[in-house]
Amino acid sequence: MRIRILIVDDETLARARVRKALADETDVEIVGECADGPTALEFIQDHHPDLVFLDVQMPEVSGFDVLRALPSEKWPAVIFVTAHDHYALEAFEVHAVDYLLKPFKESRFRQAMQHVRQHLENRDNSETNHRFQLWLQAQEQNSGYPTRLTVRSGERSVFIAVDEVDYIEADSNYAILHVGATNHVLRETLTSLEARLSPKTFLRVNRSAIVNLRRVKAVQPAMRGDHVVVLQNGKELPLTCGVREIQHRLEFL
Amino acid sequence: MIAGFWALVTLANALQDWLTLRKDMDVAVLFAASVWLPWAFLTPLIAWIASHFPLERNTWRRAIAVHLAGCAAIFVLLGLLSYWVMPPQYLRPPPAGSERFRPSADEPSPPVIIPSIGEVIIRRTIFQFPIYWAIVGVAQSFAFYERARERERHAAVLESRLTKARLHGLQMQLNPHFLFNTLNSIASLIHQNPHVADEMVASLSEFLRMTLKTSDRAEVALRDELAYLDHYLNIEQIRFGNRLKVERQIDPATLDLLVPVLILQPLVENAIRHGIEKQLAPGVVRIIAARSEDSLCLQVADNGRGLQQDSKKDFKEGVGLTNTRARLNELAGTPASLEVRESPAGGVVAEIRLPCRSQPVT
Repeated sequence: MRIRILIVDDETLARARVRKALADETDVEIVGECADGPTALEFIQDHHPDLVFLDVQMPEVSGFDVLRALPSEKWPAVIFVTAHDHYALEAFEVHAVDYLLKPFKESRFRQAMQHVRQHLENRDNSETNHRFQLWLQAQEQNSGYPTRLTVRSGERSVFIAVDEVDYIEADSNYAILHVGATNHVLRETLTSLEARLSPKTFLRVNRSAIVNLRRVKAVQPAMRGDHVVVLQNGKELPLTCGVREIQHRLEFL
Repeated sequence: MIAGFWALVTLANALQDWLTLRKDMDVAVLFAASVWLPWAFLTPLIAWIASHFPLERNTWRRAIAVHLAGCAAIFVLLGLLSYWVMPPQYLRPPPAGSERFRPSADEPSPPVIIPSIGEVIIRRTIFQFPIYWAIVGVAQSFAFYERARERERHAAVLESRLTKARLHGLQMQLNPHFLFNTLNSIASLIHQNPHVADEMVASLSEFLRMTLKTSDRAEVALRDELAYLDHYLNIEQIRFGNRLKVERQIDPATLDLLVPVLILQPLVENAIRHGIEKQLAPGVVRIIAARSEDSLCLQVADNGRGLQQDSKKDFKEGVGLTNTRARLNELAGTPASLEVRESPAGGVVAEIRLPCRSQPVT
């Protein structure tokens, strides 16, 4: 069996370096290369590579974010590649995750490959993966407001840039993200989302809607002294949080 | 402490009177207290006057005048006080040969000469005038001492900031993320394009060498700072390829002007790290040097995501910016400034303004 490999790194030269190291391996096939996180996530879900060389530090979506977006049972075997990340290294050691430090020696590279082959034969790293995923999630909570939300639809996950969300509607225990013409269902309550999103750009205007303040076109009086929020796309949402509040937020946006 | 000191003086004086002038103990204590204890309250006042009207080259005339006025007021007050607390007839020593404690009632008391208030005040003034000036002297020297210590402390702070800037310069060249990624690129290039690998090793060496060489100099010509920057940018451009575009708008008239060493590199590194490295779209870093009248304006602009207002932490200046700012402030007596702002076109602009100088200041 040939090991189907994906290489993910934002630097072209770094990808070339991994490719070069793999050239001497006989049982591998490079099925793809990605320069950023979102493409990598899509590729992993479409092509199910056996092994991913995953750069940790990438723009906007890190290597960790890519894994976070996938349930740990769906993880491919991963070899993290990083130049320097003291914190991550500690986690790798604790959780026995494979990693390479840039620049790596060929011998160290062979060793990691050997390790992966054993993994792939046993196919029994769910315990390790699960523990590492817990660590990843704990990290996320410490890192401030997310710039992307991970949305699962059926078997697939996609990243939605928070900035692109127009508004979010509640549907019992689900939240519907309205992004342009498309909707995404998120398995999360509005209250929990409200707490996660930056209060600077997102405001809960009523019991069942959060709006992206950057998309607000106007606040208009409606029937019986109520007000509505009008979005750039024409959508109107009733306002119950108070006109003062939203005016203040809009002025200081 | 002041009160303790004057209480001690009072006690010593009372004891002396008791022993030599054979006064009653209570009288002696009361007398000494009326003389000395007011000083416990006056000392802070005099010290205050001394600190607000220091005897210095430019201010001594005014200070002396204020002190003399202070003296007059204080001595009139003191005279009145002692006259009131301790009428002058008590001040006479008991007649010679009488018993130690009370003059006997039978004996006619010697004639009592009661001095006038004016007399008391004058006597007091003559006697205590030096005390006033002694306090002024002590307060003055204490202030000098404090100021010297303050100067010392200030010098130490400046020194440590300079050290920090140098240390930061060293950290910059050893920024592990930059260094290891660069080495990794070189490792890759060795196989792929030995010529470029060669060039990158040279650039990295040059960058490290200049950091080491200049770290004992405070200022360099802008020309040198830009050359140093070019080595750094050369490396980053190889790493990022077409993701990084560098534009330079350098007014030739600025090239010989002096700038603090390593002042631009941290700003450019910030622009690349936050503006370019974090975004997927190709980024532009623009370096501008312009001269307007007496000031040199240096700008480093990127077209990245801006100051990231959405993150939970508000925009905080990192070590690099804080240090750059501190170093600019250190250029004593010159109106140098650093401003970091979001540009209306997106991205961040860091702007340094310096006075134009082309000769090293010794």
